[in-house]
Amino acid sequence: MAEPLLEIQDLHVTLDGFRALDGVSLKIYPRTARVIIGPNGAGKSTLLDTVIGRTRATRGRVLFRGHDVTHLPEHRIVRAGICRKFQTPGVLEQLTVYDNLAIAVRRNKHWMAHFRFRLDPGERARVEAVLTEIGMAERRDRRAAELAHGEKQWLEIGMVLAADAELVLLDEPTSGMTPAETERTAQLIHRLSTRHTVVVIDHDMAFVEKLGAPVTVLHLGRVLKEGDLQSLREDPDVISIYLGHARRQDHAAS
Amino acid sequence: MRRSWVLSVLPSIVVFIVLLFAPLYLGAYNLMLSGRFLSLGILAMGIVLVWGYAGVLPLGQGVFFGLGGYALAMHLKLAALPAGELPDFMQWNGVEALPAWWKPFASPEFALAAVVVVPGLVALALAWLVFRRRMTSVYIALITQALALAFATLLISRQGTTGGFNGLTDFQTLFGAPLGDERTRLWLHVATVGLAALAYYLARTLAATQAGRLVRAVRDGENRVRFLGYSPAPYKILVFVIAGVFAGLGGALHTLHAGVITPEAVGVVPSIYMVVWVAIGGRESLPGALVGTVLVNLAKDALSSTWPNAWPYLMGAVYIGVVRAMPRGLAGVVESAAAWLRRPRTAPAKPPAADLPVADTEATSHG
Repeated sequence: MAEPLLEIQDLHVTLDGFRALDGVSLKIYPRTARVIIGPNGAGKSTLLDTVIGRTRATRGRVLFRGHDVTHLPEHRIVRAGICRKFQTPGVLEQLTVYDNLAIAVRRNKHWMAHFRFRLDPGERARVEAVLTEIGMAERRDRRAAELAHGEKQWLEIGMVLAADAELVLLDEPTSGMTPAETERTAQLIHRLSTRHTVVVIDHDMAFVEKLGAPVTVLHLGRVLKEGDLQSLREDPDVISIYLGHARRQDHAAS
Repeated sequence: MRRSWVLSVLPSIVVFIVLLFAPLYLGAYNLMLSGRFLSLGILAMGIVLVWGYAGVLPLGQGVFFGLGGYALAMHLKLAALPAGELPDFMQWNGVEALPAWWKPFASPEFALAAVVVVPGLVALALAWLVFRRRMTSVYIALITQALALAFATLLISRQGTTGGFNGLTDFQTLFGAPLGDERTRLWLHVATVGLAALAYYLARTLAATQAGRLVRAVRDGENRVRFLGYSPAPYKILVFVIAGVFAGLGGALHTLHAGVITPEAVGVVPSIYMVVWVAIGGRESLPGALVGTVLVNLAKDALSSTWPNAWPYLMGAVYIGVVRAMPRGLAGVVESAAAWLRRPRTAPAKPPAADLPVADTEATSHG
């Protein structure tokens, strides 16, 4: 198999004495999707935070394309080709929908490259394409603060698309979305994973099932199991810590 | 696009032309006031960039104002002297030779350059320290405030070389032209209006660039911008330096119009007043800040001589009222009024009900 795009080696993170990550190792290969699940407090968000530099590892390394990015400043990690969508919609509230995307789309992020009024033609075309893709072409001049919660989620997904990063980290992309929006998001992530590498955190089992990607289960800051969702659902360890609740619901439903 | 740009820039052009011809309709005293207030307005527009656009409250703009003002005042003091003599206050304080750091200010070119370069460099050094260390706005407000206090204290304590509490005054000529002369006054007025217009269009143009958009983005979500691959520090440093240069320029012009610069004009209290003018005018609006500065200072000129003790209380009350009732200042009121006037003609029908936002219960628990 090819070199992993993202390799996490024995990652430890301690937050105020709490071991949020306790030796996580993961390999994620180019142009694949991966879902990370686990109960609250399992360390899912902390894992993504550490990859992107928001939280710093106490031990272990994060390799991106074989380069150690563990101690780079956040914006350098992002410039290396990683984009993260946060759980709470992280749109720029006072800026318009268009401006949000225009900031995400710029290739050259050096500050001296920004003393100009317009984007490059290619970047403009990309913003237009993303506006259409997320269905906000008519709302381009609205301030992001005026959008509904689900729309903000879409705008942020749009920003991730516009940024066109090689590795896309999505933290609960469907929170606050209607079932129809969730469905659209699942399709979008499918398409995304043909050109990009995608890591998704989510609670929503129906959504995870739709993604059809390999699943990693985190528990108490460690990797508990890896595999496809179906086999994990049968796994007694997984059932006992996490899926038990969802499974009981499944049985009740059938 | 082009037409809307012309329309948006037209009112400001009209205002600056009307100001340019002020000598035709203003008496000598009012012309001096307009010059002083426009100088302060240049400083105020810098505060809009730092506070309104970048979201960093600067409580020490008096320092940069003073650096620009003193740089020019030192030249004016030296220019008024016969060769080899010392400025009056140095003689009174028993200083026997001109200090080395005074000497270059004998050159008008050096002094003019120093008016913008010195405040710019000090602002750069300060901004470099605080913004690269990711200090929050509160700490920056405190640091700049402390700097204003230190600067004023330094000026007062070094009476022999700074003029102390009385500052520098009693200027005679500006680049060879007598300052009291009507022609000089006229040119000074033209230069002030010209520089105010230059500062306005510069700030406006910057705000319209992608860099300007990033400045506002950094204010909204510094981390979000960082996680889009941008380093936020350069944008904050940039606007802080521009604001420092604007303040220095305003300080130099104000010194010329007022004929004096003292530590009282650069310390903690004036630095706070500067922010108050901008808050009243509208901290996110360049024209608002200009108008706010002129209005407050006009009121001060009219009222503080009648009730000098009541002025600070009145100012405080107005400030609290503005912050409570109109957080976006006069400019915000004008914008709301304009939006309200436009409404009935365009859309008689109610907009379709938007989807209700779904409360995100996870949002706050996220670490």
